[in-house]
Amino acid sequence: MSDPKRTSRSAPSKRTSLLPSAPKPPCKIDPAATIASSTVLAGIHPITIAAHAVLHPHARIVSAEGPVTIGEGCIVFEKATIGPLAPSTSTESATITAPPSTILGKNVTISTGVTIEGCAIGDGCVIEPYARIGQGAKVGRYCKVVAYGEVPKGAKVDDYTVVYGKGKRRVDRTMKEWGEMRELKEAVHERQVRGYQGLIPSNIAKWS
Amino acid sequence: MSSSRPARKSSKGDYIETDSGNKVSRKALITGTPNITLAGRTVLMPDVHLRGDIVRVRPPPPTTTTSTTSLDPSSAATAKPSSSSSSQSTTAISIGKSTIIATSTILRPPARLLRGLLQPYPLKIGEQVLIGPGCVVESAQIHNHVHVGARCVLGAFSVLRENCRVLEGSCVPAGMVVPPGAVVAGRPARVVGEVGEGFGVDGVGEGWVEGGELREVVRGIR
Repeated sequence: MSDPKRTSRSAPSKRTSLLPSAPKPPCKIDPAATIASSTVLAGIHPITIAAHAVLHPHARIVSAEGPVTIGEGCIVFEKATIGPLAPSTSTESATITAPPSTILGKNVTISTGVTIEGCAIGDGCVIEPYARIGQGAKVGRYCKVVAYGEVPKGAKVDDYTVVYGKGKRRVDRTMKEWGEMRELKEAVHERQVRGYQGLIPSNIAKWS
Repeated sequence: MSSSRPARKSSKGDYIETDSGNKVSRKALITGTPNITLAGRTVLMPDVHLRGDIVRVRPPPPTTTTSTTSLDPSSAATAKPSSSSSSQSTTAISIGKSTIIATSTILRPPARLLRGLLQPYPLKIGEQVLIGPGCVVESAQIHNHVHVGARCVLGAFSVLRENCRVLEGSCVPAGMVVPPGAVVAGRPARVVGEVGEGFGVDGVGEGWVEGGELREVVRGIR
């Protein structure tokens, strides 16, 4: 009670932190992107966010170990972590000399709690809750990693693959053989992006 | 969590208790508060995400003035009450009495495309439901006395009926309807059995049983 900074009982959200705010990473954000105000962008390497990307509240984009690029129309849900984390790089993958960059293609959906560590993900992929994509992995186009699925370090996932179970894979032939399906999926994704853009108040100014 | 550590002395508790007995952790992450209904004696533990902002927004006023003029007054008259009622009924998440949402669980109302627009649907959770830590809930409805284990993923528009039990680490696929009294498990979740006869029936002096009344448990949380 003696500390005047801690007595704001009515409005705890307005209490300012005593710590100095973390330095902003160098960001290049398209004005058409949607970034919720409680999304976290952190790190020292550049972060590029393309147009119509939607970052939900409490998503984390970390560029501590390498640059992060988020493609057009990506949806990143809450608590997803995109970007290589410091411990995994320092302990195991000493062979990688260049900073591991994380690249999300166009129209990628990253669901809740997903961890993505320095890898490339192709267009139209869907990564379901709590999946893990290891460092240096390459995920092709229109892939799907189901809930709790895991793509190990440095693995390569071909186009149209579904990763499920304990490292099992199969090819989504509907997606592979029917161009109309892919077009439909793209159209649906676009509508989803538009819907979320209307729901989530964007706060790009905070990061640029 | 750690019983060895002495209880932290703080003038303000870790939970904010409302008039109706809801206990909401100060560390719960809640967006869109006006669209969330807690019935009373509901516990939201730390790091619980409630996405109340994913709610059906009122459709934009009809701009099609091509309709005949004779319809205009009636449409204007009907538009007003409907718009006011829709603004009142925007509920994203409703949680019943004595329900506990454990740590790091995410409740996100499901959404799907309807007539070319993304339409979120309300996420309804019944009474005496326990949702374990680390779950992702996108269900359309969870009925009363449901027990969901830790680290489950409940897919979009799934429905969990009364007295069912989801074992930990399961992934209930999108749109699945879990029948009453079923036990489901696995990735993807399948019905693996039925709950016993005593499910949810409180024994005498045995404390809490799965699916049972959570009132005493809620009372113990502070």
